[in-house]
Amino acid sequence: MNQTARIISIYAADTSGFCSALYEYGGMVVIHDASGCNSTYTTHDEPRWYDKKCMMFISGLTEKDAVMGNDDKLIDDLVIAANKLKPEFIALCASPLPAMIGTDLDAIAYAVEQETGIPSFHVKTNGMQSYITGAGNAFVELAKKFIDDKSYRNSEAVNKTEKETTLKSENNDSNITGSSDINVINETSTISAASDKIKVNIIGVTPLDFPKKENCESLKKFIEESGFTLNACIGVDTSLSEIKILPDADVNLMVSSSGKPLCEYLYENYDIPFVKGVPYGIRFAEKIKDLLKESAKEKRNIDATSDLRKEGKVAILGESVLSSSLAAAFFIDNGINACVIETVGDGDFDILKPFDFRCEDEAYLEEILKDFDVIIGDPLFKPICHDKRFVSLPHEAFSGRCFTKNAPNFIYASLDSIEESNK
Amino acid sequence: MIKIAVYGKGGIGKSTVTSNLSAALAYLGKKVIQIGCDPKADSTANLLSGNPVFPVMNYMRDYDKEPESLEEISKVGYGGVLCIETGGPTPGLGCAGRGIITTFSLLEELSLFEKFKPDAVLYDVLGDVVCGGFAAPIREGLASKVLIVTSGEKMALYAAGNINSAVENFKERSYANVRGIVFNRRNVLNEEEKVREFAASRNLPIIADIPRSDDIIRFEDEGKTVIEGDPTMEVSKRFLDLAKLLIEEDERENN
Repeated sequence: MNQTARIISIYAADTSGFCSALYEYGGMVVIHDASGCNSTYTTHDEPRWYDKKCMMFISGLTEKDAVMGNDDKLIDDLVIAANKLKPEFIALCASPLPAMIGTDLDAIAYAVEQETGIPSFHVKTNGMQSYITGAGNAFVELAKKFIDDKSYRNSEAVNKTEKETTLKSENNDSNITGSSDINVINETSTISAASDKIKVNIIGVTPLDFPKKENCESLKKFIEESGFTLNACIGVDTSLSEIKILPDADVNLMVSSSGKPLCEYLYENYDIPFVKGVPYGIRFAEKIKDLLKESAKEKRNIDATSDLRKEGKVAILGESVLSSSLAAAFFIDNGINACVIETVGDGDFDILKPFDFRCEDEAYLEEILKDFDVIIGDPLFKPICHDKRFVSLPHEAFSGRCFTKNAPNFIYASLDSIEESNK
Repeated sequence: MIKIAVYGKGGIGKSTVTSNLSAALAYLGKKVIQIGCDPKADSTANLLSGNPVFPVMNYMRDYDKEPESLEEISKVGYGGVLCIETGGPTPGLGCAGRGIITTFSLLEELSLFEKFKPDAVLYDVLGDVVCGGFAAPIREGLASKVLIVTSGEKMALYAAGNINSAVENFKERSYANVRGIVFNRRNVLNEEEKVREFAASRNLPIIADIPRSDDIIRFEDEGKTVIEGDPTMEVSKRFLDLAKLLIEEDERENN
């Protein structure tokens, strides 16, 4: 049988991605679904549930309401809850049932916004796509709703002049070759230090791909120690104010497929280029640092992994951007060649190489894995990896919180610890 | 852009009105898309000289995948009108309303409007607004105006009343508004009086009065609209007048 999973797990759905992406922005996050399923989106897929509050709700859709088209009931409930809780926004998404009967959540969001005055929007989900689509769509809809175009346009002229002066200053400096570039510029530039630094947004951080607190801390540390200014980190350790200032950045760092739609939106609408890649390891992180500068200067989107991949007998299983980044880091940091086996069936496929695989089917995956010597992936893949050497790399979107505490953190850190973490 | 959804009782002449209106708009120099939203998939037949387009749902059923290009599910007919049919599931199975929603999502993904850049898009919708799927064409961003086709027959007026009420109910959702009645004459007793009374009681204008004409049937047998067959005929002029009215309105609204 194709497209079945008898032994391994399956990935979190788009509804989980929607909840995860919007968790920290102060909105009322509502899944139009039968009641009793809240824990799917919260306790199973959401490590923040026990530490941070979030107004996450299920509408409690009944068969009768679905058949009769009782949309007014949902609208009334949303208005009552919103007037009581005063959220920053109301975000709606559909589980399979309303998606199938074509409930017009755009119209419901419009009606609720008219009634309450609270910004409301719908994020397209149907409960049958992966978390990547749900999170990606949610980030874009949030940005569309909250980036203040008017104030951005007013400040754009001023910022543009400042940025051009800064970049001109960099271009004239012949010493720009390595990691100390920014320091050199800071010392020689006549512009203030604050405006001199390249501003970076980190885009696409959700616990489904980056479950540990250290993951986000390492990403931020990488940006700051590389001499950049962190403008916003979307969407962990963040707030709505960061969404509003997204266009202030010079360049975006896209760290997952979930971040791709927002990176493309910011590029198309605000001319902010992006670099694709997670700064795993030491030398690969250095490479990303250089590429962030290049991307900001040339206004060009760059795949950081593109020249750093070779076919090998190591297989990395999982989401495409994270897995390709890890493969690139192994190549440049440790001289190890690895193939990526993209197992979500969704996300950024452009980053994959001809020797990589796309595989959602368990039986096919089991066959493919026979050709590799070492397999790196979530522990729930292990039962189909035969007697191959298996290196555990837990992925929250695949195994929930089961293995999170043992998950290693390779961001801006040596990859050598992978051996340690698997002893 | 002119964005019209045409509703009315089954068999009242929606496809005849829609395809003649598309042909008239094209005759007046406009770039037109007509989307048939009916499992029968016969809305655009008279624009295509009897060579039907492959409906979207049929494509999905036969190939078990979504089409990857507009060319696979569209055909250019009379006057350059781009013809698309949603089609539907196997009769007696599945969900036709959902099929319409699926088709619209697909057309959005294929960037239909961005690529074709139409001046007018017409949705020819099956019968009554029976469920969410059949209301899809009047949702935000699709049709902005609804034309209700009716004759003076009791059941046609009954269906027209239901359609009008359904659209009224969606007011708070920023959906399309009913622009008016297209009076498609069947020459039943006291027909004009009945339709005028119906329209007045709902404060709706009759924006076109299409006479019963054997020429419509004659040209349909040839796979043509009357506009293609003979644009100088009286019945053709009625469709051209309606097209001119919609063009002028659209120009006024966009200036």
